[in-house]
Amino acid sequence: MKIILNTVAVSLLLMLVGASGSVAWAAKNKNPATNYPSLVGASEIKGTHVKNLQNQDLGQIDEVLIDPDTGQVRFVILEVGGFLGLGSTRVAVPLSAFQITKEGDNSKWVLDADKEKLKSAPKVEGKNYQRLYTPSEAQPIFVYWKVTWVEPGSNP
Amino acid sequence: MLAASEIKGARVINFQNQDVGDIDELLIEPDTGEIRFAVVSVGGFLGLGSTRVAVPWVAFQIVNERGRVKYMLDATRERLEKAPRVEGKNYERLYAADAAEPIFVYWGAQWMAGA
Repeated sequence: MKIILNTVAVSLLLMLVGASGSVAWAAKNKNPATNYPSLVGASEIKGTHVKNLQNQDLGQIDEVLIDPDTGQVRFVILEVGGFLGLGSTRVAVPLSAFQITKEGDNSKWVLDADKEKLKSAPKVEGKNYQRLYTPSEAQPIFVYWKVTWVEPGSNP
Repeated sequence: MLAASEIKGARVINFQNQDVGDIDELLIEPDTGEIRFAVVSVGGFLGLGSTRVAVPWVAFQIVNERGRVKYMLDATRERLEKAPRVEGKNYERLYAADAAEPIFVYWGAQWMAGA
């Protein structure tokens, strides 16, 4: 119930503030598990290794996908390698599912996923990222990774 | 959906359809996933070699022209010449409000104080 109320509150707020809505949106959608007090270059993210909570290496980040209307990163494409023993499987994971923290000069990316979770995760074939823009394709991925669904292109 | 690695190297043009340079990097705030800045590598347009300027992402007009994405920026030569520069890869600096806000102001973009 609390979640529903929050959503309503956010919607109302966004209607009220109009063009400056991105301020409220960004503040409300801060990932509480993430603490990385710096900007990070997209090209530096590519190739970053992702670990799970058991400190196992899951694979590396292959691509960062951006919603052009809002300028928000929506998905990260994770290339799952040897961990699954399945060759190079690529899965789309919402950015908000990651915990990003600072480790020395680099960022540390953690995803709550075991082998089973990755095996059944929604896959990405080739570079057909357009597909991930449609809510019917994207929403199940948010649900799978248990993060709050955000409409594509919604520029609050 | 735009892939970050495809944006890198994309041409930036101004409203006079002049070639301004290309996008060298996207700077992302990890907490929110928001792209704060694009680093534009300004080349021959200024005749200054490879000057790099940080431009708020919201200052761009992104036009999809028959599948080709165009990045338009209201940037005359004058405006680029005086624009806040980026040296090296010290992007950490741009996270701080006191460094970032003047760049938003310079480009006439709304400063996202709450982010």
